[in-house]
Amino acid sequence: MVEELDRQSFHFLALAAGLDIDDPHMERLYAYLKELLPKIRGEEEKSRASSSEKDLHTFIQRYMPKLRRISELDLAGIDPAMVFQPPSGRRDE
Amino acid sequence: MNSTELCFLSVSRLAKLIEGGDISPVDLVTAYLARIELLEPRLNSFITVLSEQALDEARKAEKEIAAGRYRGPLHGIPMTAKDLFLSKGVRTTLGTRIYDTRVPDEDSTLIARLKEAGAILIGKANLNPLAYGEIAEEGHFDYGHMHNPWDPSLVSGGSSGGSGSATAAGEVGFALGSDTGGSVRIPCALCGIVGLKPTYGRLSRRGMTTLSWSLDSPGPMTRTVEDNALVMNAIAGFDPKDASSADMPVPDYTKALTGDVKGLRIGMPKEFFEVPVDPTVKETVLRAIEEMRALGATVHEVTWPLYHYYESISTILLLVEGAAAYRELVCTKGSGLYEPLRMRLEAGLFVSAADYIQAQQSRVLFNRQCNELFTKVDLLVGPSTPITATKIGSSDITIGDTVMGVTALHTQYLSPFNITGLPSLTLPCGFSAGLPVGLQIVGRAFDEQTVLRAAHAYEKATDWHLRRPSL
Repeated sequence: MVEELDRQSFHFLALAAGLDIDDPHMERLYAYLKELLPKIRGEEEKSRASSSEKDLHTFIQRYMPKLRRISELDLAGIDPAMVFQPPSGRRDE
Repeated sequence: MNSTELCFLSVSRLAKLIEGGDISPVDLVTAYLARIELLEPRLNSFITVLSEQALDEARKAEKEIAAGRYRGPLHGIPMTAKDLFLSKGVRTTLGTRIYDTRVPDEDSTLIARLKEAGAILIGKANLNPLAYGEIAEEGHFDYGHMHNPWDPSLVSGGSSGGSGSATAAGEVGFALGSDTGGSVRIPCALCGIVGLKPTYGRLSRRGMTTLSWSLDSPGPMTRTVEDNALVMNAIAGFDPKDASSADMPVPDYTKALTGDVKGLRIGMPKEFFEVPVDPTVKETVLRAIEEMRALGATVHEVTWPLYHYYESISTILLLVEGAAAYRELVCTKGSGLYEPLRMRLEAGLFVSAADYIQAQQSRVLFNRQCNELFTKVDLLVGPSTPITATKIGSSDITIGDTVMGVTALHTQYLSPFNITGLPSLTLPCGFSAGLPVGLQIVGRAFDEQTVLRAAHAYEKATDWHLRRPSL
């Protein structure tokens, strides 16, 4: 997640993810991400969408109206909840 | 008893009739098929109806029972499963036309266990595409909207909406759904039936198509609490083929149904009433909690400040895990998906690994604080959803001064327990303007028995579960 996603970074990340960057839909995705990514970091509310893409802002607002900043929490020393099982020992030990 | 009354009987009652030879599985399947014929496509509960296959299975069940090989209370009972549970020889679409003709060559573990118990798959139930997305938005459903039996102009709830409407309308004996942020419990609450999301790991996820590895859980959807316990008895237990399956002893859930809540300590998180909730829903739920107090439970206000972080944690986990689960699909067939769904799946590919890990760290704090509540109380209770069913196509709802999206509202009390993995059940506790209101009961990890016990005692003392939609 990046603070402000510029177009070049977007293309780089989209390509790395395996998306077709020549698909006309990518412009909409770019506008959507510019709205969404700050939102899920709990950043101050402001619409980054152009007037023709206000529906994206509305859509995201509708879906996630009140996200809080996870960065407010003290996560020092907290192991993440991840699925990993310790490797089992050699059978002959 | 007429055919409609038969279709609305509980599984426990039907089982007695079948075991006693008073009705045959063929009679029962025939009655449910007639009801499906009557109500479809008005409710649009099904993507696929398996008339011939179900009748064949019913004939086999009839012969087995006549030969003295009765398998138990699900033998001969027609059911449906959300169309993301793999079903051998029957197409499994995930609610998207992209998979319209995909036919799996094996059953999911839960469908296999239900078949083993003698249940009859009568159809595959409609759902929101990929079990992910806005519940009420127009144009979102490849197989059409799912309609609420109490008022077909309203949503049945998502994403297991077809399973919910089919069970509430008496089109099946019971259903299977899946729940990532409330998708079993939302349709159960909105349609006035009982839905359980058991502890993460209690039910096998093998063959239940993944949306989020760490949030998904299957769950039974039934007309009564006892039926829920009967289905749990058939499906719960370790599955060595599912890495997330818990190797824990499984009790007989029906033994927990004592009808008694005396001495149980019930906690009511005050944070549940700091978020938007329709005043009538709140009043109805508080009345239900008072009823539990009158039955002998003690009620305590508890506080869970980190509750307010559920949406941030759940959003990041779901975005990233959903994107990973469907990466190939969005990269190769994304244009076949409804655009907001496609963008949501793609967006998860742009969330950093560090942010995902921090969400998983936050989850540990969140869960720790929730688990601490269970040192003071045995159960948590509150509303299942803060609103009743809404009009199909309405995306926003105003509660007081707040305008909120329908999906955000529907998940606000339920999604926290996908994060914690704790067992959570909804059951009907009243009506608001003729529409069902759900009461949520949450228990300790792997203590579904106490959840079912409290729900059963409440159900026994009330008659909400006996009310039927007039279709």
